[in-house]
Amino acid sequence: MKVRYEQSGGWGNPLGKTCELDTEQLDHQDAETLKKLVEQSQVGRSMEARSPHARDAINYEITIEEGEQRFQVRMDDTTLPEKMMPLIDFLQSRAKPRALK
Amino acid sequence: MCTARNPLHCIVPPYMVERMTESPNKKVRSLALENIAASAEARAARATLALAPMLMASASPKGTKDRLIYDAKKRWNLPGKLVRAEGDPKTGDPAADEAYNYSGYTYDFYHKLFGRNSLDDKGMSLRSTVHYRTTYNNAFWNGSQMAYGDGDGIIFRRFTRSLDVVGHELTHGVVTFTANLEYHDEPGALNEHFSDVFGVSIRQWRKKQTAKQASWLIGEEILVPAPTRRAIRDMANPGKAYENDPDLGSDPQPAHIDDKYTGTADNGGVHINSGIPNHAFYVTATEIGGHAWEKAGRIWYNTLVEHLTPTSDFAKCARDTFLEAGNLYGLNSREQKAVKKGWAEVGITV
Repeated sequence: MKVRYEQSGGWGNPLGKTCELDTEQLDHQDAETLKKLVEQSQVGRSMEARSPHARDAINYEITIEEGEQRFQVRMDDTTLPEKMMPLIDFLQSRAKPRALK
Repeated sequence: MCTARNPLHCIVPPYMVERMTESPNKKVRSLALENIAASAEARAARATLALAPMLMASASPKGTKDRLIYDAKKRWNLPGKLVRAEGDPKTGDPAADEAYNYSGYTYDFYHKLFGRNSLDDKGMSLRSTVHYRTTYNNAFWNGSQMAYGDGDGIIFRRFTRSLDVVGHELTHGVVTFTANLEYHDEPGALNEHFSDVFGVSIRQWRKKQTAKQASWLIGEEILVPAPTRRAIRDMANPGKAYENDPDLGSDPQPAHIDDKYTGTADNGGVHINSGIPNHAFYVTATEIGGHAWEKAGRIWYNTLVEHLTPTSDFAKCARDTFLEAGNLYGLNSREQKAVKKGWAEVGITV
């Protein structure tokens, strides 16, 4: 399973943070944790839900690839379901600030 | 018999609950607002809210300043529990009392200087939720209210510590009810810009500082101090607020149109490219001298309220501020020349 995480906007660095994780390259514990968190977040399909009226909300984009399947979730602070937060926390802790090219 | 904690979670028709949000009784208003947030109809209303935020703007009972401060108790539900209403004594909770005081100063700024009655100029109640989520490193305006996190104590402190942050967020409401600048690319950067302009102006007004005396930093008080970071943004020096910070990276704001960010992050760089008009305002205000809110602020306020549209870009904002300066202070006045200089400094010719 490959998971790509991007966040941007809000009051931190607006370029945000990003990481790309591959369960085949993580240690066993992290790989199992990631798989479990993805399952608990119940991301089973691509979806986009961002409020057109939110201001300074952080934008989140998670892309999950497993075998032939690929899902992308694009949300912000006002639309993110609470059940996804443990996955977001895990990904945020491994993400690094993006730099201008 | 209804045994729900909130009696309005029993069978009370939505039209009655909506009417109760206008009750002069604070407790009744609070219960009604909690009901709206919790009910199944709220989920449908949120879909509608996405299209028309004005539907959720509740008028204050007396049509004047009306602050409602809620505590989310580190949970995700908005607005949360009402902890301080207009006229109530201090709670003793710094976050709640800061949200109360600073939203009051923001209301007073717009009312005393520009004759504006709240964000919608119709006496809209100012709703703020504090302690939103756990260690939440952010604050936002959702179209009808404010939500403030407490920070993680590593990068950020509680977001209500900063008057310019509170003023910034509430000014998003003013922008929503005036030009309603779309939140992407240059219109979105202008949306952020006006929030920074008036967030900083409110702070300078409270401190009675001239443009040259004052700090032009945004969000200084919400950061945990570190050598690598001075603030979130710097209107005087875009791109210099933080550098090589292990958590934030480096400030990406440009100070000139030639360096405009053209990527897709941050809705096309709304918090990045705001550095360009921010610097134009800083130059204008310091060139005019005196207090920034008096002349530069008035030019910018009138431009926002009377000239800009949802798709206005930097060039239009520059033209309109230049024209408005002429309207207010005369053609070729010192003030109009200062506006021209401000925009020229960032590479935009009027």
